[in-house]
Amino acid sequence: MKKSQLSDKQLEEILGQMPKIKDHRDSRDVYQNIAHRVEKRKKMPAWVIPGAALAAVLFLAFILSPGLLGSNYSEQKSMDSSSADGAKSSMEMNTASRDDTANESASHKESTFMMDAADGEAEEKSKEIAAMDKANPYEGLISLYPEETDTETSEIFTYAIPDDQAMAIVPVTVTIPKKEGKSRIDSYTETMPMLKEEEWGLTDYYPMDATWNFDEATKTLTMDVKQNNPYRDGSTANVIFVDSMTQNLSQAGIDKMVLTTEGEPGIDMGNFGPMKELPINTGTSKRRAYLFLSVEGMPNPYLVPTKEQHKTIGEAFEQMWKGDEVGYLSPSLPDDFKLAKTESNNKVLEITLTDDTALDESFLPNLEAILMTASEFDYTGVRFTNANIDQLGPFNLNEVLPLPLAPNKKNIN
Amino acid sequence: MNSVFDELYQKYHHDVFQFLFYMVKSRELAEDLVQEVYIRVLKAYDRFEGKSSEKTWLFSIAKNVAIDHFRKQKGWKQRLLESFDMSARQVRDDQPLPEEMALQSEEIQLMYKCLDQCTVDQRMVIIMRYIHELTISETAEALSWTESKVKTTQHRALKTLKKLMEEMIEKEGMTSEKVTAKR
Repeated sequence: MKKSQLSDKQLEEILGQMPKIKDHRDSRDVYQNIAHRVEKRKKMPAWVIPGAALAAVLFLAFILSPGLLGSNYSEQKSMDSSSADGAKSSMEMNTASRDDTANESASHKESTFMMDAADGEAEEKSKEIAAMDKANPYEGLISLYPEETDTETSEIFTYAIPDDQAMAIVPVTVTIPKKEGKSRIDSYTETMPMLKEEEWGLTDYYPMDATWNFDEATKTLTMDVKQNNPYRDGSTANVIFVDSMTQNLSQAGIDKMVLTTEGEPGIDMGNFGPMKELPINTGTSKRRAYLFLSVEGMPNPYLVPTKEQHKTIGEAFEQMWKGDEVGYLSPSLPDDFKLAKTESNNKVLEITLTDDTALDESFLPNLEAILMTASEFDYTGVRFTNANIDQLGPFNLNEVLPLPLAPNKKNIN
Repeated sequence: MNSVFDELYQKYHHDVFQFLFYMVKSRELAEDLVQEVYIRVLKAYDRFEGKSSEKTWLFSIAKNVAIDHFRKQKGWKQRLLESFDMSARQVRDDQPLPEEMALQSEEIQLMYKCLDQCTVDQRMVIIMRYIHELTISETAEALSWTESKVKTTQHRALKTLKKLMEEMIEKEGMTSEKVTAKR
């Protein structure tokens, strides 16, 4: 071949003779090599990760948003509810009393009827009706009062229940009919599953995951929990537990409470360390102030005691004006409520108001907070002087006002 | 096994493999690249509209895979080779021939060596047009070029090959120094 002899045609021929090159691999081997990349991608579409991220964000927003709205909202709510509670809650409590006191059911039924008719009208009306019938005038109130319950025939239990944020412990009082031959402790533990915490805007806490045993002779209550009990984790869980148990049992006629874990002595309480016994302080006054905790959907604010104990009721009142330190509980006394003086007269708390303090119906929840607080200070009653009105809800302000038995009554029937 | 893969494999596997082989001149590399072609094909198969034939579509993907490969390679190797152009050719010339080539005539072996001294564009056109015997319009479709660009590139490629072939034939028996000097 010489330099000039190669034509395009010859080149094309040579190119056409180039050998066919084959891949000797089997198709299955080739597919095996690419399968992991082809199939994996198909299983996970592109939107999965951003979608999961979005879901997480929405979930967080859902969890955090009530907390962000938190304190402002509850204060406003407490103002709203205090004025509007009367009519609404009287309905609710009608049903409660109907079941509670079976022996008075006949007269009650009638009163319920009457109350229904008067439903839309103002609080003064209910006062008249209360006078006419022997209806329970305390029905729409927050606390449980001596006149509305017969301690001979019914048991009063107060359960400490964490609120929906687990930030506060709300004492909730229920009344159940006494049963013959049943110990108070048995009734107490058997009532736990009947509590409707979530319906009341609180955290589901009862029944407790524990076995109870009460020794009548030594008045010793034994509580046995499982190894993985929920009361040991987190400061709130065990603070709530200790708080609730001491609150719950302080009037139950128990001298000693023994704690065991699967039969072994002691429960590991995190903050408190292992506890073999829980001190039950009976009889001593607790000297706490009661503040408001407003929960959405509830006609009344809850009365929640402070952790602090106060030397005098004056100090307790100071805190009721301020609210709690962290601002979670709202004040239970308005700023325009002013005291000229407070004094104790034969175990009755005498409160003299200043001339410019004007009370109206909306003060009723605040009055209940005062009464509840006074009950923690060994008083037997409260009397107001210089109040501008005579009657507030069921209370005649010219007389000595009765103190409540327990705060935040609820119906569980 | 994936039914789409199976069908494409039956119809076009050897074509695609051969194209890649002549582009990169390495069996191992061609095996890797043909897999990359399948991965891209299977991911994009739902979007294949049938505007072009399956065959030219596969060729166009194979072309992209090959070009991507050259781009990646260019990182360090190609730049080094380009700066020492002459030695680069030497190195390539010394690559052992694959067994399929070793059995072929001298002319074919020479042609095989000359192929990789064309540009990538020219090589693609030559392989498609003469080894795979695609028509001008099929080649244009596979390369997403106009037909006239295919024609001119093909013309230039043949010219380059002719020159290279003639040089190689002439230099037979000559030392590499003389070839260098002549240029």
